[in-house]
Formats: sequence, C-alpha cells, structure tokens
Amino acid sequence: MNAVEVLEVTKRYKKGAVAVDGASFTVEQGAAFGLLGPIGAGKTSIINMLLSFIKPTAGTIKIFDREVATQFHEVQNRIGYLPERPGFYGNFSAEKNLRIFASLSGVREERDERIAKLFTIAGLEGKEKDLVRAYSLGDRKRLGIAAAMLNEPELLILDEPSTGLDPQGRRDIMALIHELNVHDVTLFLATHNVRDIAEICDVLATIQSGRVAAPTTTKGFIATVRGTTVQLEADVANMNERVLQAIKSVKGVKSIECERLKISLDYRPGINEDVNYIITRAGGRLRSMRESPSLEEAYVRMMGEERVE
Amino acid sequence: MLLALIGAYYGNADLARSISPTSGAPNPATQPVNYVISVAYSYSQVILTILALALSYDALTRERSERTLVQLLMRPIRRSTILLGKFVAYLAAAGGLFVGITLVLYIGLSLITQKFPSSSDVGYLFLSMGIILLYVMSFIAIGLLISSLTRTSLDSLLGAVFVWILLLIFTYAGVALGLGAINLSATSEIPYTAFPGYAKILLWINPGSHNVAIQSLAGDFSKLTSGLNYAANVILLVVSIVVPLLPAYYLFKRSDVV
Repeated sequence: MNAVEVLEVTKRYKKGAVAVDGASFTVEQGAAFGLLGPIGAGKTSIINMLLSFIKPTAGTIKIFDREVATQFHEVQNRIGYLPERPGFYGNFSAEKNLRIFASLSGVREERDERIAKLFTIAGLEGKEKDLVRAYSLGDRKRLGIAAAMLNEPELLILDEPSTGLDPQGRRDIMALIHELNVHDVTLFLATHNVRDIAEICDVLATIQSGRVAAPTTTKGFIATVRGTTVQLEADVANMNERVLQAIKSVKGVKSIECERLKISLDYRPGINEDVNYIITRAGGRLRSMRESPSLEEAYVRMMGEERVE
Repeated sequence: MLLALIGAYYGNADLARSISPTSGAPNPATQPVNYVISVAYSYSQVILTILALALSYDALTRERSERTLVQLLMRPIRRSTILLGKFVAYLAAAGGLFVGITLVLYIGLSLITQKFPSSSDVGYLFLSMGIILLYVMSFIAIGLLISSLTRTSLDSLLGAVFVWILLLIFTYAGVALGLGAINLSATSEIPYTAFPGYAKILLWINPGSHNVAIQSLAGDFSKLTSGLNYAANVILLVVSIVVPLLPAYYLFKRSDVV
C-alpha cells in the first residue's frame, strides 16, 4: 500500500510562479523517502499540498488512499509533521504546549504518560517545565518531533529537519528520526542536505525548479553522484611488497604512495571494504578516507548540470 | 471607572446623561445603584470596545506568524472550531472581566450605601450585562474579520485602528448629516426618527448605536435608541455579530495556512 501518491501535481501561485510542475511519485508504506533539492526548488510547496495547507492548481494527491482535497480529515490523525521551524506558544512550558496539542489531537487517556515518554524519546528530559521561548533551535526541533509524534502517526513528514543545527544536534536529530523509521513509521523527508538523505532514506526523488525526477534508491543515487576518486590513508606496521601487491590487485586502485600508504582508487561499491580488509589482515588500520569530490560537491555539480540541460 | 462611580454617586447626573447615548437612563432617585452602574457603563463601553478589538485583531495573524497555526491545523479540528474557540476565549476574557467587575461594584455599592436594589433592578442589571456582552461580541467578531483579512500583526493593528475610527466617523457623520438635513443643531435629545434614511444607515453601522444596555438597566423598553425601538436594536446588535463573523470564517477557511 502506498502511504503517499502524488499524481501530475502542479502548483502555480497567483503571481504566476510555478512552484511544482507536474510532479508524480509514490511513497510506499514503511519506507523512508527523501525529496532532495536545493532551497526554493518546490519541496515545501509539495509538503504544504500533502498537508492540505495549500491546494494544488492541478493533479491529485492521495495519502493512505484518501484524496487530500476531499478526504484529508480522514487521514489527518495518521500524519505527523515537523516544519523547518516548528511553532510553539513561547510563553508556555514545553509540557503545556504538548498538552494543548495532545488534547486537540484527541489524546485523552494516557496523555501525560505519552507526553513523558515523548520527552524521553526526544532527549528533552528535565526541560519539560522550561518555557519554549528559552529553547534552542535544536531543542525546538526535538520538541517539534515530540509534537509530531503525539498522535502516534504512521506517516511523518519532515521539512529540512537538520537545518540550523550544530553537528551534534544534527546527529542526534537524525538518529532520532532513523529510530522512528525502524519502528515502522513512514518517513517523508524533504531536504537540500544530501547527507540527511544518505543517512536516513532508502528511496529518494530529486526536485529542481518544481520538476520532480523519478524516484530511485538512495544507494543507486549515491553511486551515481558520489565522488569518482577515493583517497585512503592507512597505518600498516609491517608494510611489505606482498601487502602492496595485494592492494594494487584490488580492481579500481589507481596508485599507492608508499611512504604514508596513501591509496588513490576509483570508486565502486565495496572497494573501500576490499582495501580495508587487506590492510586489517596486515595488522594495520584505516586512518582516513576522503572522497573527491565529496558527496555534497558531486550532488551540487549534478544539480548544476541538470539546470543547464 | 472608579472616578466615574464617585462622580455619579455624588450627584453628577449631568455627566452621566451627557455621556449616555440613550434617552432612558435609570432614575437616580428610585434606582440609585443601577444609576451609578449606568454611569460606569458609559465608560466601560469604550474600554470594552478597545479591549475586544485588542484581544482579537491579530488572533489569526499571530498564530500564522508564530507558526502555531500549522500545529493547530495538523490536529483533527476544523477551522470553524478554531475560530469559534477564539471567539469564546476572548468573550470569556473581556466579558468575564466586565461581568466580574460589574457584580463586585453592584454588590459593593449596595452594601456601602445600604440602598439595596429591588429584584426587578437586579433583573435589569443582568439583562443589561447581556446586552453589553452582545456589544463586546460584535467587536470581537470585527477583530476576527480584520485578522482573517490581514497577513501580519502590524496590518491587523492598523486595520483595527482604522475600523475603530471609521465606525466613529460613521456615527458622527450620521448625526451631523441627519441634523443638517432637518436644520437642527445638536441637542441633548437628538431626533433620530426625523433623520433621512442615509443618515440613519450611517449611524446604525456602528454596533455602539444599538447598545441599549443603559436603557435595559433602567428597565425602560419604550424609549427609542438611535431612532429604533428596543427589539430592533437588539436584533441589529445580533446582526452586527453575525455579519463580520461569517466572512471571517469564510476567509479563514479559504485561506492558505502558510
């Protein structure tokens, strides 16, 4: 069963700007789907249409087989949403905010238990009584996830979940989101950050100037866009000709600089593991690995090429 | 309000009458407590108008700008429920404040002066409070309409000030045009019934023109207020609630959330 179906959807704003241009894709139930595109590509417009916040100019959107245009209220309580900048009543405590939203979600029994559990899941224990206006952006995002999970949704829509977070905050949020998917929540993640997609999603579609490309597996996409060259640095105590020959024999290895054992190789899936296996068997360890260009650089280059075409 | 009460209690009947828009104020001799409350009403009506608008003018724009509207609309509640919820909440805030203060003053004045109102006077008090609440509701409805028409809190504020001034202009323009048409200067008893239709309509646009609270407090339902009888004023007061509330709902329902 599809959690989301988007069929030939177009959104044209009053001033004539086309935000989404004939988008079509589906998201299977239980999947982690990523919509990847630069800022202003139309990701948020698609989300706003999924959530019935704005109406499409043309096309059909279905969520759990219900048309959003006419039957959204039937599936509304099965959806959770984390906006890019979650809004809360700043003068209320985080707990009071969640109580309000829980009551509006129809959560009556076990409301306080569920809220307490969500504070734990979101990593906000001890901050329940703090006013939301004193929260950092990272904490607001965590609280946003807690608010989105109040009704125990089957589909969680996330708009730029890692934007504005420091590296630790980003890592925590992504781990939290990944954990939700493990527990069978369908994820719809819209972001410009290719790393978020790579870490979380198994299927993705790219969007550029409102046009959505056909969905592909994240692994396949990464193989397409990722850097063509990988630089490995390793420490091998007992370096000898036999180890060097073994590494050189791995398909794709281009050169080895013996002094610091810098290995340059053409990327192919699994090549890192193959080289690492030889190094480990020789009693060494992999010190660093750097793609050239990086995943982000390759993605930006690819989007740039699409724009030119 | 306190100053008004002191002034009224010490016999400043002229002050009360000059402020009162109605011709049927309570009699200070036979309804002393109701009379004092009627003077307080003259002030509280203006304050309540401003309070009702101040509470409601950015009810929706604030939710929109602080992105809490998204959180609300993600829940299985209808937009009409959100609008009605806000209406009731503001009525509870402004109306509760008004009813609470009025009752405290009424009981306090009765005890201090040892002039206890009759049961009919108490009935008139509750009736007049009901009328004031209708009046407050009409301004809350106007505030919600402004909020559904605008996108930012600043626009809403400017809209509320504009509407408030516009309603005053309509009232004064109605009186001025009406008096001009019948060649009369302003008197304490304005002959509204003799006004031409256009002057009456200008006058009636302001919900304040239909505020028959002081008349209710006197228990005098025979007097005309703004040229209309009591029932017509009450009906028009109800209409002045519904008229802004319906488009407010329609606009809010049709508007994009983001």
